Amino acid sequence: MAIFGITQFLVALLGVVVGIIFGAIPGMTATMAVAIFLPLTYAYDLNTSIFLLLGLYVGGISGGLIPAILINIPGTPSSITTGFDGHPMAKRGEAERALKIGITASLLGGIFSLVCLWLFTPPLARVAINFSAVEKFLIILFALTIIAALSKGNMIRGVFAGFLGVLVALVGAFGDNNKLRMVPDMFKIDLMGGFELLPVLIGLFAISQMFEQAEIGMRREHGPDGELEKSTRKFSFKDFKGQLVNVIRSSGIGTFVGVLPGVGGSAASLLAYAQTKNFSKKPEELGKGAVEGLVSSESANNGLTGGALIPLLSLGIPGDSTTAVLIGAFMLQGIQVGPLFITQNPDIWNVILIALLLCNILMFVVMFYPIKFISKIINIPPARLYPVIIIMCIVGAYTSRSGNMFDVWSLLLFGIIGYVFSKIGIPSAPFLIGFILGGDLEKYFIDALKGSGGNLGVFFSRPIGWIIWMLILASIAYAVWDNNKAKKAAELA
Amino acid sequence: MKMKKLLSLGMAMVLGLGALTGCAGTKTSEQAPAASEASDASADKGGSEKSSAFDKKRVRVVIGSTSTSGDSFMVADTVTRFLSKELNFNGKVDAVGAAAALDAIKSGKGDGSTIMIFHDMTYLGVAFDAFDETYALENMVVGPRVGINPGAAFAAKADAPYNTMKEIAEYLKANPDQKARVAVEAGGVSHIAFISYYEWVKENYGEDVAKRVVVIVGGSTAEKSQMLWDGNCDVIFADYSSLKQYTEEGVEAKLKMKFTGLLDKIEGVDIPTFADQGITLNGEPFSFSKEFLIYLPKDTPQEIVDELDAAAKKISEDPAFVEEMKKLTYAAGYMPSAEAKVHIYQKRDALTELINEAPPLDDLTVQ
Repeated sequence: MAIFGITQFLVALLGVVVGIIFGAIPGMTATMAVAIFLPLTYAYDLNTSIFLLLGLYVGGISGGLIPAILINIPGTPSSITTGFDGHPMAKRGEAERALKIGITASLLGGIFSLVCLWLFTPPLARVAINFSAVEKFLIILFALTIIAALSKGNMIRGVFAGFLGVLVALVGAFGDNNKLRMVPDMFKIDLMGGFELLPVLIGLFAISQMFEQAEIGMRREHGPDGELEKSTRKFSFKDFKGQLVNVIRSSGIGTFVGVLPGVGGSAASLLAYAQTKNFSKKPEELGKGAVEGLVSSESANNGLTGGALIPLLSLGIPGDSTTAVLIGAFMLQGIQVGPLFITQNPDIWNVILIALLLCNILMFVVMFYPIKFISKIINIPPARLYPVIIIMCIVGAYTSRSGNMFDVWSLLLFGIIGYVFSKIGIPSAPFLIGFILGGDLEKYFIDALKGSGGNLGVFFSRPIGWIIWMLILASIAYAVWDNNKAKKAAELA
Repeated sequence: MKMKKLLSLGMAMVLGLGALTGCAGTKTSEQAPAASEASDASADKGGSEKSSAFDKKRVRVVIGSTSTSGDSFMVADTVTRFLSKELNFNGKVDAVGAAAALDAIKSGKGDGSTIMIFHDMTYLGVAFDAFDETYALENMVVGPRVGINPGAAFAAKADAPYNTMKEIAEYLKANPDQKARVAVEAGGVSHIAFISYYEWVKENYGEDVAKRVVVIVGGSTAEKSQMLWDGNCDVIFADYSSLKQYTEEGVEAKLKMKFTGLLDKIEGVDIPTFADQGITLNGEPFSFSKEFLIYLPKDTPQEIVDELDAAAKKISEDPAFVEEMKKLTYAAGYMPSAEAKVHIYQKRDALTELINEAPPLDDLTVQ
């Protein structure tokens, strides 16, 4: 069984390319790519399978930045914050620069998490075990504070949208007793597991945009947001000057969120973005095309890749939804991942490290050089581009649960909701963030109470919890202060 | 300008491909009645022109789980790979979850294009009232049994003051201020295992001890393991194979577990089962294995079931299949569809009675 050869290289390349395509198509994710290719691994030995599956994983996480930057539609849930700054840059005529910054940040985040995986797996796994339901609840709450940070000047509406998102996330069966909540009788089968994330995501971001464009009418020659500015600013690695701390902090947050089993990958980029805003010298520029926002989001979501493998390989507990599928690949080959995996399978452990390094490098090469052609997508007239986006969104929604027409109707419904939100001035992003984090928020709240016999004091009983509480309060206080400052500035203007 | 034309052409191609992808699903459904008609026609001709209902077809195999690492996926995937070779079809396992899988069988066409391979949760969902009667076994066709997973087990932390389920009851009797918090999944196989144990404790140790065996509702094995490590529960229910690694030498103390009881005997495993510990249900030793059967839509013609039956029998005799199932700690356990139907109906009726007699989970959860 060769650890690394031409077959493994080609298979990794295939995985990365297919993963990028999956990540770039709104509605398709890295998890889907890995799940679809899982049965193919029968044809290969475990080593080759690892190269293929990690290629799909890294490619799938990275590909999401393309639509987020170019058309402001996150390709994957973990690239929501990428569009906040990436798309304004693209509108300034800096699409290629934004994409290259995003790709480079992805590589840096991926390599950072690989180093953590290589050097710190046992200690980080021990930290992960000490994070009980209480701390996980507080981490999710902390991630939710980004809603306040994003709603500057419009905080009441933003917070309302966030809570509404949490409420919609709770639609469906309550796992502890299987009783349905907020589900009309006619939808009790379709909505048993609640609304699927992907139709909600692409409905709010893509379909609502289509409605708005249909309302104003499509121009023949310009990009999706009207006239594009003609910036001549090109990408240079000097763009990363002064970003070292940001890269380390964001990659670290991404890796750490990956290490915590059950805290979804989307929380990584949300937390990292919120902290970048809090620590920024020019926080008012975030959301308007700031390089630091883009770097933060992309290094965090790729930081997740190595992080999520840590609990998988050292505890047998997957760090995110994609690594949960990866367990299947090991099981099909008769190998159990868990506390004895690294000591009992040093060869496979080395293969994982080599494969992850190769896949990150391949991801960079495959995306960085051809990106100047892909970036031209922004110049395609909407009348030609939008029908393609709509088709891709519908196919993505339909396949999100292996072919369920209800998800296509959900896509349309949330497209209408997004359109109505924009008409009445409610921001969609906080709603989506509330929706993504709502399920986990409830789960860990209930789990913490179950463990403590219903004692609410449990949320204040552990030192790690106090630290997170302080961070939450500081984050909210800063957001309120920033909101008031923005309001005053608006009044003076 | 040239670039714009090229990109527009590219977009047109993507649009075309997308449309074709959309058509792919339609094609299968369009094929469906044709296959059904072909099968009916074949039946009308008294089977003189025997052709396979599965030959070169796309077959969607749904399972009642969304996980691709649990026993549902592993069994369905292994069986599908061997069956597809035997019957020459292109099979794909769709991990759609219980609600969607049951609905696919309820609304699917009986032409063999959609089948379900799933374990006892097929009928337990209805028995626990999570699904209505339209999803009952009577509204689907029961096919052959294709796999058995005997590996359901209870486990506790290695330093727990008891070693078996029986000792837990003894421990609670001797320590009236203590509780045993057992993590199980609501409406699942673990729920059945718990209420059978609870009823046994109540009968043999009295209501006071039984009241202190309480439920903590957990989800996946990973979630339940974390609850055990966090100290949020004392005993968990999971698959033997998934927990075995935590019981081995070299595992650090915080993660270390021990098995307190198996629901059924596993070949080559020396851990006391419920029956070995004297745990009974209605006076009979209690044992439970997850049985995986093929289920089909209600209007599926008998010829299709017979064809699946013959193929399932054949693969169960294939040493490669048996070996692969064994590697996953499962057994092939073929049972013909007619026999499997009687067996699963009886099992369903006995367990429904148990569920109806047991207190609801809300009364058993930790207060």
